[in-house]
Amino acid sequence: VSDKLKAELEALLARRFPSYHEPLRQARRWNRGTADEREAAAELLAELQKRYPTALVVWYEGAFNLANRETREQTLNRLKAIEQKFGGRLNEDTHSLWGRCHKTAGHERLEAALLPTAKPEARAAALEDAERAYLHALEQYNKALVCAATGFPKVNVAFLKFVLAAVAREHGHAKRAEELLEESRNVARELLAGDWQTALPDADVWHPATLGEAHALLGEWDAAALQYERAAAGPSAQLHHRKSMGKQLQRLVAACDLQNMPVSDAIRALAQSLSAEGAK
Amino acid sequence: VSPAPELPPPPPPAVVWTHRAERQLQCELTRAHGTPDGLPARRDTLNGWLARAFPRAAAVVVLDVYLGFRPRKGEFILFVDARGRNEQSETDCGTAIVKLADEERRLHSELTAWRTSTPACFPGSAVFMGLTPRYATDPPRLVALVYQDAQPHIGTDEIVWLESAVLRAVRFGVPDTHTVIDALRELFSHLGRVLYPAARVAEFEEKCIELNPRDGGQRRQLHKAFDLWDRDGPMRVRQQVTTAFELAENRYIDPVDYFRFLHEELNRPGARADNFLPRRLRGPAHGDLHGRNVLVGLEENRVGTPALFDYENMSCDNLLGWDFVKLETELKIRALSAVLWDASAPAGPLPHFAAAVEKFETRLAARTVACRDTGQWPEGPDPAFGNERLDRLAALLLCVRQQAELHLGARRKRFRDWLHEYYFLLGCYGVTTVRFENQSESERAAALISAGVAAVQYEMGRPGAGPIGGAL
Repeated sequence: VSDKLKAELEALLARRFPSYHEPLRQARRWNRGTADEREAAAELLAELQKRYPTALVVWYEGAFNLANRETREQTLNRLKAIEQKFGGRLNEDTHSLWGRCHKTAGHERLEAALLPTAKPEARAAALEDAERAYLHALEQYNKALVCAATGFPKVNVAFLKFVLAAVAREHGHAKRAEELLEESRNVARELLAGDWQTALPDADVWHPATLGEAHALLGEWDAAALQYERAAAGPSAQLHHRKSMGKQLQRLVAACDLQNMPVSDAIRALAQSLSAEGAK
Repeated sequence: VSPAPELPPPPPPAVVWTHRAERQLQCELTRAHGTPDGLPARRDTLNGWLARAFPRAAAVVVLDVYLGFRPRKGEFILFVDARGRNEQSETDCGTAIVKLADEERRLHSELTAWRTSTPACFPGSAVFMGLTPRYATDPPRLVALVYQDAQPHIGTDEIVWLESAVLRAVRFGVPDTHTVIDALRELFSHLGRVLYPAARVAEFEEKCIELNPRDGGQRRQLHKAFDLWDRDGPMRVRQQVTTAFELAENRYIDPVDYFRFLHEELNRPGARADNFLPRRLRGPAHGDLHGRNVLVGLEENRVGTPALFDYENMSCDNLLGWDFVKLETELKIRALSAVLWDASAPAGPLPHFAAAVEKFETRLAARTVACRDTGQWPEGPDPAFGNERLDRLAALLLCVRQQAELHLGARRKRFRDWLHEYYFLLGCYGVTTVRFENQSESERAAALISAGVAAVQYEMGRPGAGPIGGAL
């Protein structure tokens, strides 16, 4: 951690605040910055957790910091500890982070299953792992949905059901796949019909990106492309936003391919360009 | 001439308990000890004290036992009807509220508080129920404090706690809200005449936040309540309430964190107390003003004159504002729990309740400023709250605040200071309610939110405070 950052951190730690909000604002900025800043955020958040033990948002930010610096297992252990500390009453963000950890694990196992070199036994095991991870993720996003019926957990629920449908089809469970697909479409339709708001500072990106994903899950490719383009052009849009949207869209396209669903060329190209641009 | 034969002393009066009173006593014992065991023995003890407190009565009928918010072990407040032998001439007849206690010092303490806090030779008034000590000689002991004859004092057949009248008015619109407002004004008008004139502006002498004195002794200190909020039950409520407002620091901040901050800053070397504490009025005040220490008569749709009792916490060193914030909080948290708690809310009742209470509190704060600035306080239900029951509750709470403006502000030319002090004390009181272990989850949450919204209001006007609010 640079001397300048250290000095800033020490100054923050030496002060007392009427509430956690002001120091947390700094921790959040650092958490989304460079590796050095994330280190400083970790130190600040550890102190804030001691001073403000009832503020779940502080603990969430600590888990988010861990997710960006340490292994998934460490993050999951931290999330379990937070759940215990807060008597099982978590918020949308914490459940969503928890869901994201499992979702990422699911993606990794699904990718392993789909490797052309994968042997049948390893492929079956990887598919099972992926399904289990997706189901854990779904459980967390459903809990997030109960906390706050915003579009973010909802689109993840719809997406996970869509991917689970693909996995079920790979397993040869066609009927179950159809059911999951229908459920996914219903959630996506609900999301598009609903009027939800978000207080996120980069809402101009995530709001249209969420709508774009819902349209894509329904196979409404033109509408999806329009929303994704709006999101990518949003004033707050950064490279990491584009990368995240692109990766999610690529996974959606892959799940479509697994289910032999037609996908527009424009969407394939968009997924590719967003990911590539984000990777820069 | 042979001397007149000495008349034998009258036999002690018979003491008879109504079924209701006995059930209430059973309930009080269960609350205090977890079991009603010992009911007959306790009743016998109370009978003995009553017989000695009313030696010239033919019989004493115990009509009711008043249950406060919290059971006080070894202390009982009874509503009795003493029947005289010759009711035309006897003094020991009529209805009265009687306080009895195992420890004589508790009765003495209240008697002393009453005598030192009220004007010299003050006999009681239309609102203050006069207090008479009853001594027994064998063995010598202060056996009871008898409050002025309750029934003629209040003057109606149905007598209820102010709290019950307020809850009924809020929930059902009966009794008429206007008459409850009149009763509140009368209550504070008497407090303002009898107790408050001797108040003074307190010096900034403390290194911690000091509240009312305890039992006439040392002042209570707010920071002693902080750790109680870290116990499991209160902690859960804090966690859920904080989570409900995590992005809304301009509406709610955790009051425990906030007052901890003030306490720590006060203790920094060189800290100036007036940067953290408001100017407060100290002086004679009731000290325990809540809806169960005030009785009101009900007649048809109207509330009559209030009658105040229980002077145990009276002191010349009380915070005047405490009377207002305590009454406001204790009435408010029960009314909000009755009106807004929804056990079937999908994400659990507490987040839903917290959001609704904060909305009410924030609107109440805005209305208070508007009323203060225009000088127009509502005379009846305040339609700004969009729900008839909340409109009625707001009118009653704004009436309490209007009275605070009068007694803490206008009469002392503290036109701006009073509200700053009010929010500070409202926050402090909410934090101290954690001591009350029998509070329900909703009452605890409502008290916490009341204190948290008050903390934001106070912080916005605190000298040296930075800007509050902004996106995380």
